[in-house]
Amino acid sequence: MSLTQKEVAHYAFLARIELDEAATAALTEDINALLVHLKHIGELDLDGVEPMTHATALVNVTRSDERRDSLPPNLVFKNAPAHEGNAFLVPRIGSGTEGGA
Amino acid sequence: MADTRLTEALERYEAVIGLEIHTEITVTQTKMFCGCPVAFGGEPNTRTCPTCLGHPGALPVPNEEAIAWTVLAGLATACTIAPWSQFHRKNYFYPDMPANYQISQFEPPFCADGRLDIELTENADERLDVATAANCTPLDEADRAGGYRATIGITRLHLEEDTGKMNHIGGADGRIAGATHSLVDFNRAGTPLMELVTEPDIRTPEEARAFARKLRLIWLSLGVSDCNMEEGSMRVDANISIRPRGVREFGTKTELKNMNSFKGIHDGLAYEIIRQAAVLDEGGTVVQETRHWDASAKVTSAMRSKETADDYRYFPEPDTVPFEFSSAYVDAIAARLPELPDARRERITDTFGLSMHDAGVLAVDTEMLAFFEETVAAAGVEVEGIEVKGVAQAVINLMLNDLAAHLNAEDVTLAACRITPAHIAELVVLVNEDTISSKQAKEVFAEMAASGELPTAIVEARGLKQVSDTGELEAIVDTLIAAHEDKVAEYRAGKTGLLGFFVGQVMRETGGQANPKVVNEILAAKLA
Repeated sequence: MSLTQKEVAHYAFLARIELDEAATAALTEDINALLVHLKHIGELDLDGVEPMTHATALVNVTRSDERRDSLPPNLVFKNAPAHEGNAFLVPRIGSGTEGGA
Repeated sequence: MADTRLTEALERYEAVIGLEIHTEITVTQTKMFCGCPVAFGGEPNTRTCPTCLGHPGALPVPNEEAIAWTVLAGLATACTIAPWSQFHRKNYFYPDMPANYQISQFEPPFCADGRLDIELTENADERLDVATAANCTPLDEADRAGGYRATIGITRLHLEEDTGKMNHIGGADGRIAGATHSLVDFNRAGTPLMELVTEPDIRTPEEARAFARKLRLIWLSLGVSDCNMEEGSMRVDANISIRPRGVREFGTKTELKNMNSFKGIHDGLAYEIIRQAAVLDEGGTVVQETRHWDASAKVTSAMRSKETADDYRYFPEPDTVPFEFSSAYVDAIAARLPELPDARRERITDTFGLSMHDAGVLAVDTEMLAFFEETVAAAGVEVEGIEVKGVAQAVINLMLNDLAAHLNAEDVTLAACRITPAHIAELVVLVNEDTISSKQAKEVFAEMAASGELPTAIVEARGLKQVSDTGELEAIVDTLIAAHEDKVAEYRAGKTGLLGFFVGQVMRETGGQANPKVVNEILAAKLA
């Protein structure tokens, strides 16, 4: 498996990473070199081996439904570039997008 | 009756509709992954912390109660609970999710492969193939003529976190177009959110509305959410495409959002069917896009071109570990299942002999049902006896007609009004024992609604008692016959319509208190 330069550019766009053409080309080469290693794994007989999603064997880690203090207002906006009153202020959202998930 | 433009479109095209219904779990104290409280509104950003603000390094820990409620919701909709499951990150860039991803579920969701039966009585004529469709059966109950029952498959029910709320400033109507900047409130961000996805089994706008209504009733009977559509705690989106009748292939679908009322669900989908039919009729092609229902303009308009599932780059959430649900865990949650609306309706019909319609009204309103059961008990009849049917019917008639009209006119709730089960029970007994006529019962009702006096006291004070004493009534009839010999002769000659005249005269003599049934019997005997 290998990626085309166009695919890398698409992923860069989705991740909002700005890449020029030279950087895209270099990264495509690097990513494809990494993918060669994954190809070796693909060559192994992995029938019956469940895909691993976590590095620990823990399951069912939850918390009880108990309240904890929320942040005081002066801390809520401490890392925010801008806020207006009690709301975070974000710049105008580009055209073609409205609504989230 | 269905809108003629809709009927006309549906005669040529079959609509294929799937719903995505988001419901906030409002019953938990805290959010999905942090200890901030769950509530609606309030001063912006006062219920936030590093976790729900998406700060790097904060550790989201799943709320065990939210998971249990989701499993309960899955069991209530006949889903299979996954023995193993996990959370995923759904990646996208939008300011309503500060982490740039939403913690959601991909495969496998907590609950899958469920179903819901819906009953169609209104606008049932939107569906043209009830007789042949595999998922439909006509309703044969006498009071449901023309209606049908449809089974709708549920693909999945998963748990995720809700997003923050955006407020776009400077544009028209708070829309994003023309806005200069936006304000974000993360109070809602991180609220436990269940997403239910149906199979594309829905064929008409009315079925979509019926599904949403039924689901809401189930969620309410579980108590998992307040399901307030105006406040957005229950939100319904739809995927809709049309195909020429007889064609199996799906057409291109659009996604419809912002249908934040039951009327919006129906009207938005009806509009979209008519719109898509017009596009196809002109030889055009439907564009795959998200459209926004504008309830005041009654149109849908294009909203955005959506990133595809691949673009969300789902991957297992590394901050949370997987879940294993043992059968003991699932059984313990199943034991919490309350009586659901369908089962409750059946119990009410069986116990009280009410029609499916009347029982249906009670089944979905716990307060009304409690009032009804208390009233029947107070009327002093043994439940499951023969007599219970008559009394129960009289009680429900009073509740659904006089009482409902009174609550409506006064704009009060059942709990806040002066009328108690004892009032209705006394009134029913008074009519049942022929102490007062049903016409007098109306008067008594009006007075007890106004004053809160009990019916027996009102009847006493107003001297309203119905005269059923045959001796007394016979004497009055005899006097009348003597006074109106001419009319008696006419009656005997065949002018039987004059019976009404005599009844009226007896009523006048008794100040309207004669028992009409007894009067009719006496007159019939004496005039013969």
